[in-house]
Amino acid sequence: MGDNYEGWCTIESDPGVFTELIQQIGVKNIQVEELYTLDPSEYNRLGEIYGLIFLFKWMQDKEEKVVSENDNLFFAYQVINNACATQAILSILMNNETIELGEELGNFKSFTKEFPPLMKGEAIGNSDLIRETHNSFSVPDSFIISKKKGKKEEPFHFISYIPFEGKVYELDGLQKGPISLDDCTPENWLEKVTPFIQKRMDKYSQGEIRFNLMAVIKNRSTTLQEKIEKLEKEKVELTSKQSETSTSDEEKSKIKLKLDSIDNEIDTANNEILMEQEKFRNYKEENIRRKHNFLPFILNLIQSLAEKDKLLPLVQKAKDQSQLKQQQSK
Amino acid sequence: MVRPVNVEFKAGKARLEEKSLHSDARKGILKFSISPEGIICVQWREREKSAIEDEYYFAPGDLQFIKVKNAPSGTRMYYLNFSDSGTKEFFWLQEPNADNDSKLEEGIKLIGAYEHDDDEDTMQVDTPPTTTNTQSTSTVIQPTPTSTIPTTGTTKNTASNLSSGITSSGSSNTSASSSGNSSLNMDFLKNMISNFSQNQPNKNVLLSKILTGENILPFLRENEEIRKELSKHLPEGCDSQEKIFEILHSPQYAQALEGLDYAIFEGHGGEISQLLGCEPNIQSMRGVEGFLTSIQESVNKQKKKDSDQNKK
Repeated sequence: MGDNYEGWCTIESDPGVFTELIQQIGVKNIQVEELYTLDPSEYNRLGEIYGLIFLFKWMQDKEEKVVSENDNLFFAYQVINNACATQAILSILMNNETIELGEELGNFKSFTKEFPPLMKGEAIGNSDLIRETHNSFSVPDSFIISKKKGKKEEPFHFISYIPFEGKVYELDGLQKGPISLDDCTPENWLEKVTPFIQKRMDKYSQGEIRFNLMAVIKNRSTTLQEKIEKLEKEKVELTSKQSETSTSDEEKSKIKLKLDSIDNEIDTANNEILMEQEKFRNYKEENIRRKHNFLPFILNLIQSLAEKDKLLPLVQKAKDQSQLKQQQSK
Repeated sequence: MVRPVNVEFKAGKARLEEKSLHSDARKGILKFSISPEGIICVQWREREKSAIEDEYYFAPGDLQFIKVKNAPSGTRMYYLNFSDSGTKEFFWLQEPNADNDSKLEEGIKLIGAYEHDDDEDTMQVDTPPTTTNTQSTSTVIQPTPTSTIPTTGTTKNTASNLSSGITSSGSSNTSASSSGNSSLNMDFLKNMISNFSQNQPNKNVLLSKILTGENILPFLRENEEIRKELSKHLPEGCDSQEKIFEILHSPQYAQALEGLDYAIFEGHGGEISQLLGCEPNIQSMRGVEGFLTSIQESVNKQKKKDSDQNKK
């Protein structure tokens, strides 16, 4: 790895981190959600899914896969290890025409369009926008002594799955190129990709390897807002039909039932929007805490405790508790 | 003297109870390493978790990791011996292949025999064993914390062994401890029990257990001035009790404490206490308890000095 690519920090693999990172790169209306099962109902819950990211603790895998070139596809080799999460997200964002990339990333995409995969990977490494955004999420290494010296970060690897031009692709920056898994339509791509991801999950759970699945999706609040608008429209139509004199009483009562259920749906969607907003507020606070250096707080706290003679009693308390625990477990 | 590589392998805990050993069925990792200061560190954690559950420290030359001689066939048991307190901590090996045990023992022996040289480049802590003599050793003695590659044999075998709760190198005698807390009666332990002591080394004194929300919030409630002062070191707008409560219970705060605990156990307590204007001394290098005690002493000294001056 060249010197040019130093200075990429590790960041936490967390939906809140990724969601805000995407926003900061300038891409609109996107969020990242964790997937807990590969169930169709789980997919439905999330609305429009642009791509999936499978992450796992990296292990040597000798299996060479057959790659399928497609010049239209954005595929980059993984040049910078610490950037792999960001790279996996980019490979989903860059390969979907409906996503608003924003000016800077849009320029980056057209600038790198003709690049071979290696140069694309290097371009990611050299992009100030991407690197600086990525690094802004690193946890401050406040201890003068780099604590990472002894504590090796576990290397995680990220693979993206996307639908592209009628095929499901697996994008793995450590492979020679994109891997076409199956034919698909925009409607059935998740159904098609599921067995491939399932296979990986089975493999890794046998080997006790930690893995995680995330989805890059359309902003949920937007999706819900659109749903509400559609329902409101339907409601207007039904209401006017209801007031027409030609409508029979029987029909009117049917319409009333329908209207009630629409109102219910709107209520539910509004509640979900509130929950989304709450979630985003939490993300924001969490990310602020993530970036915060707690060392000055902790050290001053220790000193204050010492000044009030409260420090050693707390040490004693911790000792007593541990002893109690040991006795209980005996 | 070349610093030996870390030794880490799959092992569970066991404890002595009424003259018999009870195995803890949880899958774990036991790790032997040497801190930059030459202190031997033995850590146990659950395999799926990164948090260290138990941690023991030994001065160079003090490490005793002894094989239990009469363990029932199919199980391989060892214990850490604390010669001054007479305490013993038991472990059962969960590595699938017993043939490699001797290599683990050798690796641990090397760590036990290591003598620290002050001039040594501390960066060597991380140096992976690139020049191991035999192939099998390089996979047993792992430089990284959580490799799951089995020593020998196929992955498939390992997986099936693990799911039954015990790995016993292909012997048929797996039933003994496959069902959680099975009790293994061991006559040979009888003599041990006479000098078995309740005293445990202080491995649970950690900042992450001391500076908890539960402990700190009442303190901050009683001392509003201090709370105001301290909240300057928190993210903006976090000065209310409610916000501080949130922060003290957040995983990010917990992580910061764990990082500090780690740095202290790695022997950086002295440097950290210097940040508070305390003189680094030997004590501040001795775990979190030593670190905190030395800060308290330094604060006491300062207080005494101040009050002496006031008297004058």
